[in-house]
Amino acid sequence: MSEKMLKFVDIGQQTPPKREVENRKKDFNEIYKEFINKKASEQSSRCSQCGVPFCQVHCPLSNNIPDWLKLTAEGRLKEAYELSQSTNNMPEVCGRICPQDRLCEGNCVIEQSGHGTVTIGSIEKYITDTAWENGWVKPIELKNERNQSIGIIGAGPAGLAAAEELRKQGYKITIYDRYDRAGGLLIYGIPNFKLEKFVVERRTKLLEDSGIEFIQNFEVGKDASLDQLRKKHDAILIATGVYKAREIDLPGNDLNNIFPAMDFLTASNKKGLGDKVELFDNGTLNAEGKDVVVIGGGDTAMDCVRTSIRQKAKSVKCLYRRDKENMPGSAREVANAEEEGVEFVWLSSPKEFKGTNKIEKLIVDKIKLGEPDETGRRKPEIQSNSDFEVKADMVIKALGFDPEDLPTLFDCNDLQVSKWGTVKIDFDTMETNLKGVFAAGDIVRGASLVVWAIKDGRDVAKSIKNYLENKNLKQSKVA
Amino acid sequence: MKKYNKNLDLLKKNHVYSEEMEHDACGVGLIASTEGKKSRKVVEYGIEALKAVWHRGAVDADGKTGDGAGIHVEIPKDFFIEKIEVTGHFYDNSEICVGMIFLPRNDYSAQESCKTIVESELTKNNFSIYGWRQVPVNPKVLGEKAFQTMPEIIQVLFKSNDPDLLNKELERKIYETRRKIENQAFKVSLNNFYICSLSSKSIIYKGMFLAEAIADFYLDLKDERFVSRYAIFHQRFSTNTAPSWNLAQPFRAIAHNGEINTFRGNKNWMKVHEQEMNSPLFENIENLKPVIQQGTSDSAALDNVFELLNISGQPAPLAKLMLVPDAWSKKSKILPKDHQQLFNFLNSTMEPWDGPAAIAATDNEWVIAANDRNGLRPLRYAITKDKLLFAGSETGMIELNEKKILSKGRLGPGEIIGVRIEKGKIFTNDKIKDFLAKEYKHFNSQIVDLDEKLTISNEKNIFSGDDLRRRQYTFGMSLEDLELILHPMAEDAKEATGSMGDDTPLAVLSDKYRPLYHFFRQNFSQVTNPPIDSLRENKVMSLKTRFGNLGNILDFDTLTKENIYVLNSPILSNSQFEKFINFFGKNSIIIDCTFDESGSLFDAIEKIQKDAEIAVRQGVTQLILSDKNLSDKKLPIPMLLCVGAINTFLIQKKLRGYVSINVQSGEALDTHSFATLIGVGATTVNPYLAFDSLYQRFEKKLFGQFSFDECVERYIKSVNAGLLKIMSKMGISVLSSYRGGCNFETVGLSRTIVADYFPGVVSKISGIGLTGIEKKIRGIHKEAFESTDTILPIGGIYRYRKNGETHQYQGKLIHLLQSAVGSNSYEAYKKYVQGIYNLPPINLRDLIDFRKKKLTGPIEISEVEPIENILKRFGSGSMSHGALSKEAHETLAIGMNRIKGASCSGEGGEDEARFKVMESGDTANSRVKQIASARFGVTINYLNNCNEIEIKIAQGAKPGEGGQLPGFKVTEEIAKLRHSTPGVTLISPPPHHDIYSIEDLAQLIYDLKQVNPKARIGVKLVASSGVGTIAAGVAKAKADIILISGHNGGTGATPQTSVKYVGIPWEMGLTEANQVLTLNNLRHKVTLRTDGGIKTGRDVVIAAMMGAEEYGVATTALVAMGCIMVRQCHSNTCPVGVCTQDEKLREKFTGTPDKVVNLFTFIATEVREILAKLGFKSLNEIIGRTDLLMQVSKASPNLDDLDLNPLFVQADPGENKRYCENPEINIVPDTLDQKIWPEIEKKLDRSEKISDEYEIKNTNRAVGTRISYHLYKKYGNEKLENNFLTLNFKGSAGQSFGAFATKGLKLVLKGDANDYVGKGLSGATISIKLSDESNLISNENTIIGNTVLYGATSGNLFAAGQAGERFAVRNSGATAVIEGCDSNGCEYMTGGTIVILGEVGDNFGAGMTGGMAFIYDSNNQFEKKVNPESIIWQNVETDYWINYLKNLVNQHFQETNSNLSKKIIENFEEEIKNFIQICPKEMVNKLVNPITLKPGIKEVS
Repeated sequence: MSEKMLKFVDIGQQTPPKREVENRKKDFNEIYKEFINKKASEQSSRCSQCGVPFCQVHCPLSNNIPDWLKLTAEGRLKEAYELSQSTNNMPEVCGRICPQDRLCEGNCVIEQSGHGTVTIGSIEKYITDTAWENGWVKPIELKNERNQSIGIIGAGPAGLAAAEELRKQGYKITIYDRYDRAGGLLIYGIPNFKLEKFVVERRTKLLEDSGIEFIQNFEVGKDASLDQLRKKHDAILIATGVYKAREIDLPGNDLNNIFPAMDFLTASNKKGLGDKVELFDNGTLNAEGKDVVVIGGGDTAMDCVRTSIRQKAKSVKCLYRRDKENMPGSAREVANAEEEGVEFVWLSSPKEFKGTNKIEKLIVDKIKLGEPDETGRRKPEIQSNSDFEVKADMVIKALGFDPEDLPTLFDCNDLQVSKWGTVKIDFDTMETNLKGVFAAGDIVRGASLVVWAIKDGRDVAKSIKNYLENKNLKQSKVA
Repeated sequence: MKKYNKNLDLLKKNHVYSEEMEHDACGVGLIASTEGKKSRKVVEYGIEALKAVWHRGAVDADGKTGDGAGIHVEIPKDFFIEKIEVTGHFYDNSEICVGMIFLPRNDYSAQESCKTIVESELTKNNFSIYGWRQVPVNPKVLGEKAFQTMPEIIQVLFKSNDPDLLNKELERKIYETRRKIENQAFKVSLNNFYICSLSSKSIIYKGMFLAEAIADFYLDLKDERFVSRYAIFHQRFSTNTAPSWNLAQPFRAIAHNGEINTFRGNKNWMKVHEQEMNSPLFENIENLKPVIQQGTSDSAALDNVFELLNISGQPAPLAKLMLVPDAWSKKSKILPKDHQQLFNFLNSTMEPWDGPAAIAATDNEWVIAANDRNGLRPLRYAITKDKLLFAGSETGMIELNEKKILSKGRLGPGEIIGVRIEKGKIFTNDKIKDFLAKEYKHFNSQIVDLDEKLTISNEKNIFSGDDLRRRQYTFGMSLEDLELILHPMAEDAKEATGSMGDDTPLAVLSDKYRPLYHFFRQNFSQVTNPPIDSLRENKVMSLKTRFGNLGNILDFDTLTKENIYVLNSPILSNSQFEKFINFFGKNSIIIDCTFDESGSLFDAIEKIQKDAEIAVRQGVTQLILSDKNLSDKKLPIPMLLCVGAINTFLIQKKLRGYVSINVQSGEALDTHSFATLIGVGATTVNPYLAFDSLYQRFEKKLFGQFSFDECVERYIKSVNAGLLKIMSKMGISVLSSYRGGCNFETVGLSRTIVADYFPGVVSKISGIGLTGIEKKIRGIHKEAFESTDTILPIGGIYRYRKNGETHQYQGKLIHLLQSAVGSNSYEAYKKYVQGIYNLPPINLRDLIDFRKKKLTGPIEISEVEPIENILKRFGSGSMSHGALSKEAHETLAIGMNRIKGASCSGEGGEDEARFKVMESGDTANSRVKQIASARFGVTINYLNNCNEIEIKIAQGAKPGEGGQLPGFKVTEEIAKLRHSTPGVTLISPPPHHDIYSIEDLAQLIYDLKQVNPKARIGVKLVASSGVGTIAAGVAKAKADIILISGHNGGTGATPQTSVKYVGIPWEMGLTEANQVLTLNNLRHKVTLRTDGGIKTGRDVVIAAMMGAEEYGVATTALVAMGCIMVRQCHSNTCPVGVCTQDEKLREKFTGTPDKVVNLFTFIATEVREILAKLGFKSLNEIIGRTDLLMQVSKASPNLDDLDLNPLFVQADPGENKRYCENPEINIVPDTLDQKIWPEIEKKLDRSEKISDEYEIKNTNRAVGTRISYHLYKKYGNEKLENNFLTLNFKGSAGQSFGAFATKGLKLVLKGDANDYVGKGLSGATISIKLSDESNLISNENTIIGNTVLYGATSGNLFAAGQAGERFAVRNSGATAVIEGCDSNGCEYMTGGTIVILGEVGDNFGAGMTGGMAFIYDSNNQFEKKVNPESIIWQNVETDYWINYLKNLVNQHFQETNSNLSKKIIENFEEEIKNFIQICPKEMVNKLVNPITLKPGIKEVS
């Protein structure tokens, strides 16, 4: 055993320093500073090199975390990078946006036993950023390209991960995406201060350089039908993600200045990328000077409140029906938001939007938590006669996302979906009911984490490869 | 008996049992006239001596069947003249030849056939027969088994027709004739025909009676005409089982006490030697083959070869040196040059027969007694004024008049003493070796030391980058292998350490690619022979590797026509390998060990076999098997297969002796892989891929300052150390006898592969065959060359990785279990067990299910026995406080006590405060106290605060290995418990130094039963094939409990490969032990317990059906207390405070007794549920019911070959139960104490003076121990004043004199004592001095035996004379003064003071980390003998220590009247200059009274 490890006994936990609140509120840049080399290796050396690494157990991608921590501690960053990227197509993204406190770091053995977790996420980010800086991240160079091709619908994390894995195997890949930029939620959903956009762009560029074809502004069902794509390619992957905002049907819902979260975030991100965004420029989607109320307790809600702060909102409140302990989102994000001045109104549920023409205030019920339900979470119950008012110039609904109606959208009624609208697949092969059509990511599992999308993308790539190899075999047998 | 034979056949047929698994050991000795005069006295002494070693033998369950005894004497001429004349012949003065023969008793036609063969061969060979003589015997003295198997015992009397054929020539002719007869009989399958002796010189009487009954059985021996110049006698203690008259000793040339660990290798190499064997002395050399007859024991085989050498002209002492040589290669300082040369030459002729060996031998010219290279068996001798030499296992076997004794001595390592009979002259060790060295000097010049020619320099790599990676991938290497295993081998020059047990699937059950060597499991020693300490006793070990033709061992003059090349290590670096090939040039040939994608593995193997044959026939001497040609189109044949296949093939073709098999392979990486290659026959190994992998890391600058050459050297050094360790585990010291010995067992490799390529390897459970292996190779090869990753697979064999090998302890399951025990939720527990059951197969039991057909249907759960009955059958393993934190250890004990289960102290002592019940009613006292090799904290108090004592022979995770508790873990608290110094490293030796043999174990059990008559004694063994016979031996040694541990038990720290590749599943060991115990009517007398990865109620039920009554759950109990399998126990950084001594980390401990109670309650509840479902009311009903189990095939298709039937074989217990109904304490014979205590007690009560002097004999063992027990009980622990009770003895004390003797007792002995004096001494004083009549000079003679003061914790010993081997080994507090000792003195000592007024033997102070020693070194020999590793030495400098020493010497004089001490005291000012003070390095700065006033002590070397 390398004596360089297991230093948690002597070395305390340290995350990369966060920028001062006052400072970071002023821009959209990432709030965590870079690790310096020495710190990264020192913090890596705290890893206990467990016989059962719970960090990996709870990592959707099964990243070999203890192993690249050891390599980092030993200053072997290039190998650390190689190992890290062998299970993850975009480690620098996961390092930035994964809710590590619920996954690897939250389950870290030394965290569980009260020593403070190894700061896995920031080290993961450090490793890959260093790799980019040093030019270790290289496009795929194929010796032999295969003559089979795959069409991938959606340039989000699932689609990109699948594309890269299949390209490595030599397949021709075309990605069809309805937005003007590739990246899906990574580019337009997640705010800059969590994930700066150059990080996403260099990834998509890398894939382009690897010979993957991107067709942007392409809507399946409009620009081509699914059937047409199926004929064109040997296999299709549906990785559209879920974009339909979940609604709450309340009196006053039609008032102005009540927006779905994605509209708000996309506008902000587009601005960040230097685009002209009319609805923002005219002030509609700009929170500046406004009393903003965000409804919801997930990561998207956190993105909205913190974006609002940066847009210089007058006040930002977050309404959530349960309490802090029962929030679905990352506790670390909540802490960041609180630091930045967001006011959380726990145990509250809006009953009515009020205003003339545009929203002016919300009527809110107080909630108490009842008995746990089947999932183990305590059920919110409205406390009678407890309502109160919350002033608002702008309301952002961050209540989650549902799938769009794909069969209609794609003009393909044969495609089977579940009662929730997610695409039905065979869980072993990830194939839909249509031969050679696969699906992965949020459109299968419902709105979830980026890391799960990457995982699904990688899994489906394996499955598609199997499918294509068998297909080849059959054809050659026939021939 | 019929039932026995039926059972035996059943077990044999199912590969459960074979004769080769039997072990034996015993008492042995000789009496010889030193003036060459025949006398009746010699024979009578021999018979008398046998009566005095009965306790070294064993008795069958019937109470009368001994394991065998016998005597070898000269043919009494007068006696047989009369017998000849009775047959009507006229005696014509020619040499009388007598054959002592066993025939099948009840088969008259077979008897006739035997007689016909004997008669016709004798006649054909020019002998004439006087006639047959029925040997008069008295079968009434036999036990039932012995009687049932008793042969027809007859003698054939004959003479040579050639009156000039005399002495040696006559013997040779008789020998060749005997071999013809034996081969004839074998050819016509005449079983039970055996020739004890056939000779003109001597005759052997032996059989299965108790030793003392020999003369009552063989009435001849009572005849006064039976006279002889020598008598060799032997008493056997066998682990078995199958009674065999043939295997009783002495054999024709030797009688042997001990065990040959290299037996398999020796047997194989003997076949190779046979190919070259030739001699004009014999009519036809083929008559002599096979030299080693089939189915013989190790001792019998050694005798076969010994006899052959004698007969062909090598005198007995030379044969001894060839077969059982001294350790010499690392002893240049102490051995005379000409002796070294003699040994070097003999080393090039034969492979040593290595293992514990006390031998008495004769070639009719010499009679010798001799010891093995390690001195692992006691041999004491006395020479008397009336011209007799006595040598034997114990002193005092024959009562001699002290006045007549000229000298008393012992044989140290490798030593011989002998008498040349005709000349009537006695030869001491040095004289014998001087004598031989002169004669064989000239052979030495032909030995070429290759190390000077093949040096490590300018090391280069061969492959790099992608090419390297794909090769690594193909050979199954992972990142884990490189990081965790390979790297430390170069960086630290040591194998990596790991902890906790193996919870991954057996190689055959894995769905991952596992290299072939993963299927091989190392053999290890337990009970019947000791492992060796390859670290501290390295001097006796050697990796010397010999090349060149093996010569004709029968003819020394032509033996070394050609040069013999020798290397110091079998591992060659890349540059060495290149030089090697160049050096041998045309004499070497490379055999490509890869095959085309389109080919087949089977064809490929056939091809390389043929290639090898052709090469050898063309005169090539060096075969080089290489898999370097591997490519995307070429697949490697597993190198292990190549070596095994070629080695076996060449032996069959009688060509093996002409070549060496050298290997260049990418497969070799960890020490186990090298051990397997060499173990199946490779001479050298060049692990090119390991070096290339090292180079890759070197280029990354991962080795700091080391040059690449240094990295290579360090890696090779660690492989060498690993090889020594692996050899030492099974007690083998020299590589040449390990090579080709196939000392492995496989689990799940098909019997065909084993039979074809690895004959000799044990394979009880057949499994994957060539087809399966080929499939796996093709799979991994394809992956390797298709993979697009730039890195290797992650691994996960040693530590869980999600994409790696399956582990049974998975994150989710650990959490589930912890939440279950934390919230007392049986439902959560059920989810946990379901999770376990849903895993892919990992253990053999995962392929087993209940045989529904046999079941009667479910019953109500209320009908099943109450949970309390089940709970008390559980144990929590034996983990020490030291491995575990105080909190964890006590919590576990409290929890176990609450359920009335068994918690065990482990090997680390226990805080006496825990012996008291707490106010809450809980108690943290471990019900079981362990006694292991280091004897930490084993005092009379410790041993009396338990109702069970567990002797740990081996540990599942690392059988055959010792341990080390590094200084940083030895806190104040730990040091106190272990009687040592905080911060100073503690060593647990690999063997118990008082158990080198089965009769030694019996002795320890006896000692423990004396010190605590109320405790049951358990013996912990590790599962291996052959554990059944060992268990039978242990049961015969009167153990009450036998624990069979599976290979997957845990550990606090051990080399990674030990966790993985040693021992077998408990399913195999347990069933075998149960079967063999049942077969031998022993099962119902012992409780069987098992452990090793037991996790659920189903595991318990299966273990019960396989024969276990009690069950250990250790790791899972730790998990219940918060362990999360971090596997860093060895680092002292356990984050949850379970396995650490760091106070900060210990605060994190969250375990509670309740959690422990909950765990066991859950398991017991599940057991009850299963019992109800199966329709049984109690566990007892299913114990041993393997008929209720069946194999169910599961998952992976290559599992279908797996044949688990050997596990299900049931021996019929007859009227006995299949379990131990009343766990009671097996009775051992009384010792002297039982006789004298009642009178003493009366006197003590009346405060009378006790002045009696008691006669003591060597059969009075452990004297003083039971009295100590009584004193302890009567007066309490340590409450008595010193010398409160003094007892006087006179005579030769038996073993373990004063063992565990308590404070307040003083034992005074006039005479001498055997081994283990003051073992575990707990405060008593022992004085041993010469008897009043004796004329001996005390410091020139031996007065006490081997392993004295082993594990003593306090007290004093004064002995006026020398001691044997390993004096004061692991002493941690006693003070002693003696007058000289043999090898390994003060080994592993951690406390106390030793004064030695005389020379010490070799390797003094090895592993000594505490205490102090003073040596009177008037001849300046000390520096040659010392092991400087852990100690420093200097003259006695400070007044404090000068006075201290003077006091002790003075006390010694007061106690013993020794002249030497008197002389020293009288002239102390001068004599002090002759003293050397020895202090452990780690202690120097921890002493209250410094040993020097000079600043800084220089290290002397």
